[in-house]
Amino acid sequence: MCQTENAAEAEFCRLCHAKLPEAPEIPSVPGSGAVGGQETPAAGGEMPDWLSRLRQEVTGEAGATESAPLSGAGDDLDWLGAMPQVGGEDEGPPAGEVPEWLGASASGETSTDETPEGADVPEWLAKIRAKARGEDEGEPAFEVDEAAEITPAPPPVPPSAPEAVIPVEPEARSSLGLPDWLMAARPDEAPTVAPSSEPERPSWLMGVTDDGSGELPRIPALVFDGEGAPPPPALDIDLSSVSAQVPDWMGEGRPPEAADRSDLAPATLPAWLEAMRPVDTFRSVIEIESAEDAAVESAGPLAGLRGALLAEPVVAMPHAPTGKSARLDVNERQYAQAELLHRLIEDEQREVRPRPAAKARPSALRWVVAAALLLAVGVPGLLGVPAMALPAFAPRDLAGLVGVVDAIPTERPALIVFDYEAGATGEMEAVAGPFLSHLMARGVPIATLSTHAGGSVLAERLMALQGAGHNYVRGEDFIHLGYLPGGPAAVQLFAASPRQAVTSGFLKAEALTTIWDSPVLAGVTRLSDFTLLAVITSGSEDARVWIEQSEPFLGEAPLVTVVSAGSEPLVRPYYESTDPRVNGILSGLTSAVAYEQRLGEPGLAHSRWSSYGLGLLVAEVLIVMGAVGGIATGVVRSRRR
Amino acid sequence: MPVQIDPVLLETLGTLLAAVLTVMVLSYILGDNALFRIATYLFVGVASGYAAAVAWQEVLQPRLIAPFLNLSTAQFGAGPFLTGVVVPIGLVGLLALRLVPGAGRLGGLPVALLIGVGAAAVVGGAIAGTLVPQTLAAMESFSPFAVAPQTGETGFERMVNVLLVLVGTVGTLAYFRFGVRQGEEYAPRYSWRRVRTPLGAVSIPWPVFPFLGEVFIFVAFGVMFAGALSATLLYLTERVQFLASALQTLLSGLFPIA
Amino acid sequence: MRGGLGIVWAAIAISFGLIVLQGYFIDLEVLRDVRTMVLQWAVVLAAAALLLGVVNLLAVHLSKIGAQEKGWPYSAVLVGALVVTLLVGLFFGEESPLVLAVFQYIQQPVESTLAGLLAVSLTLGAVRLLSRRRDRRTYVFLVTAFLVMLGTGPWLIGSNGGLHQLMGEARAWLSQVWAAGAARGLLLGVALGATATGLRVLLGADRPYGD
Repeated sequence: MCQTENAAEAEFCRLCHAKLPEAPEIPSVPGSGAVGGQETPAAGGEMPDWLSRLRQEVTGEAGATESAPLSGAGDDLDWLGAMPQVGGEDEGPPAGEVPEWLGASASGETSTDETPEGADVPEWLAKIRAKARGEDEGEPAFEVDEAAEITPAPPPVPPSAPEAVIPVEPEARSSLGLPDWLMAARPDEAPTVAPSSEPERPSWLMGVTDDGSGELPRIPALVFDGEGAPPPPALDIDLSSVSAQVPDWMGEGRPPEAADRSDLAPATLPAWLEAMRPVDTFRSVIEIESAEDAAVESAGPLAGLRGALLAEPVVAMPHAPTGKSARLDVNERQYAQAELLHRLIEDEQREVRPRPAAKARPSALRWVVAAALLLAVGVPGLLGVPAMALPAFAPRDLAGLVGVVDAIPTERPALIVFDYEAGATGEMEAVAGPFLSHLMARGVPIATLSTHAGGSVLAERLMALQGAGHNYVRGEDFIHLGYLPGGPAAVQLFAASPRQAVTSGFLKAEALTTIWDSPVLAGVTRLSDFTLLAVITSGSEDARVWIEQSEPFLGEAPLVTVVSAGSEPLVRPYYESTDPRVNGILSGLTSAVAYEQRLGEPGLAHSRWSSYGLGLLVAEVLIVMGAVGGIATGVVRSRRR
Repeated sequence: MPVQIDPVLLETLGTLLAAVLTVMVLSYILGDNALFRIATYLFVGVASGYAAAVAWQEVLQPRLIAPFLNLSTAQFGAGPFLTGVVVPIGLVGLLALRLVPGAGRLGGLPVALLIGVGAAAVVGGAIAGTLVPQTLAAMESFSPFAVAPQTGETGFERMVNVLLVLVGTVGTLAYFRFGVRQGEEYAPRYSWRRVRTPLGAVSIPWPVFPFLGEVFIFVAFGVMFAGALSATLLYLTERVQFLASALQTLLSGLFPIA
Repeated sequence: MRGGLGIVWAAIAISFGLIVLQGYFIDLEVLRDVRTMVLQWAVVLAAAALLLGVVNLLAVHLSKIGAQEKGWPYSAVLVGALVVTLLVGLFFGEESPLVLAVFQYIQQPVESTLAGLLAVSLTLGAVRLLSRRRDRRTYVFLVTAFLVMLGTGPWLIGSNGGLHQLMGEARAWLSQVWAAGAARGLLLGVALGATATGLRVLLGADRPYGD
């Protein structure tokens, strides 16, 4: 609000056109004599006590009658009734609660000189008086003296209960409204205030006029609108004679004492800071536009007010700053240093082109090893010499495997899983050959399956190779169930329900609708219907999957694994137990050669035995030479250290 | 679609191609070169194309496409057709959306199904097929009268072997659980303590079982290495023998013996 | 939406996973058919995933060719081989002699030769082992490998002698007792890890299928 006086019945402010709030009903205090003869409200509520005392001060009316209990407009002012009631002047606080000198001031008595002796004057006030009497005029009321005895802080002013309100003399000398009692405390210059018939009014109440219209006391607007009388100028008060408790900074017109303090050396700014002194950016004079020139806010919650900070042009619409920004004064030396730093950083950030890696040349040792091995495996095959002796003793496991194959019934097919890659054909065909040959020799029908994409082709290749010697015909003696993708889940599906897992087959006869119509698979509906499950694999992972997934569904059918020599240790735990999951194991060329010897059918294993043996020997020699060389190198190095 | 190709010609050309490719790959011994790279990239392309053809011909086409071609009115809407054909087609379609930017999230359904089923199969197989049986197998009897069914061992030999297998099993598990501490992979793992025995004070490594497990593990690695080297020598043997036979066939073809 | 779909995927993975898992321990008859159906869906999806993987491989190398990155001619060879093999397999059938010939005369020889090169690498590694590292584990590893190799293959002389037989027995003892004990521990550890990982998926703690 713009603090402009408006008529009581006005709805909008005459200055800023803001909607005025409804004037609250002020309860009237009978006989209180409002300022200016203001009519007391006829009905209802009464004036709050503090307001009545205020009026008393202003009007000087004696005695405020007891106020009727508040029953103001609405029930909002009920709480005022709970406040202690203050009677008139004659009914002030009981003696003793308020010192007489305070009471004398309240009643308009003048001088503290007239303060009766023996009055109950607080100690602190007495000290002030004494000090004031002993001070010369013009001495600062407040001295900075570290060695000075620190005077105890004066006790606080007694709680200003409503009954202790003291009217302020209209001629109070302090522009900050120091009460009279404080002023009266000065022994020399106690203000003499002539009793006036006029009610004493504090300076801040000077602007309050009484036009006898019966309205509330009007407080002049803080904004000069030209209509009302301007408030009286602030009174200049010479605070030099004020008590010692008043600090210097409260006084106006006090001569600056900075010159008296010569113990501080003037500050000298460093050059770099001096260079950063902003120029041309600060306006030395701040202009305050008059209320008439002030724009009226048209948006936001402050709409209609004059003199408010405009939101839209300033805040909502940001604009580029006007005026010059701070300019940095840089000398030549600083510029050179900045350039140097910039060049250093640029060098760091410049990308270093990676040098192309030098092509690694294979070492001579690699050629020697390769040549030795190639010769070792090639010479026996090409020349037939040397012919390595065949193993004289069969491995212990072979007997068990042979016994398993010899014991299976031949009317039901055996399921052979070809789970090795094309790269392992060199070993797996040689090792699995005698096993398949044994099955064919017994006349067991064979069904092949693979969880690898190329397994069916490898199965056909090996079956054709081995079957040629046993007149095994595809479609009559063996069939290919085909490819089964999906890993463990697919194996589980096949173990639980073979007919639903595989439907198409590989190299199936045209006449067959599904592969399960083949006579080779007659009567086979479950995994346990197969006479044997054999897993031919070069890796232990495939063997483990088949062992784990198929075991619950095998029933009495044995499980046999034909594995690479490198995977044997990880499959053997399933074999070496009192309740084995694997009933037979065949691993390594040695076992295969022994198997072929047992069958009396030299095959692939025999053909590769000499090359394999010589290659193995050459590898052993090379390893021994390398170990000796490594140990010798280590010994020599340690001696050199 | 049957294709009539002269099998002899096919075999001859095929063998020649295989021999050339074998030599190209073996040239890697001399160092990485363009011939080796061409051969390996060719192999990857052929293997991928063949796998895709097999997956389509043996799984997807007979399960998803053929039923539609052979569909009768009665079968359409039947439960087996819906669950066996329609739903898988939908799942495959959603899976294919993984390749489409922006719609890939819908492919989460078939992937979730695959992963859930796969995880269940792995867990079930691991517990029922390995954990329980192998734990029971580790508790072999130390009775000297028991006979190993596979090898026929009995008596003291069998007791020693059973003990060694048990110590190896426990030591290996102890090595991986207690032997390696996070952040201390290169710190000395064992200290030596002197223990009084009837034979006198003996220094033993501490902790014992992880130390023993380390020994057993590296013995197992040595056995696996020897087996792997044996296998790869067989692969090399097979290739060299193939080259020799191919060369022989080629020479006999070029210079037939009258 | 993102959180909602993730919860749906988790619910699907957990529910179907539990249906399959119960078959290993309880095998409720009412769920047997559902279990079989779910496993069939998994088989079909696995094949489809293989196809999608091949498509992705094709896309990667095609982009490499299009961008003329380093080594793009090799990618062109790969793409050409893939497309030709796939088309031949689709048009002529994967059982046709042409396709079988592609497998037998291209894939199998190259893959076998690559595996054969491992013999050189493994031997070279064993030769250099002690010159690079000499500690207790290296000695145990190398000595064991040497003894097993000695007991596995034939000798030039005395191949069937007593010493060779003794080496054979030593080889069997090392691989069937010492290595078997460690392997059993390894298998138990692998099974425990697989169980923990699988259970995390089945309980929804791990969601590798994304949100």
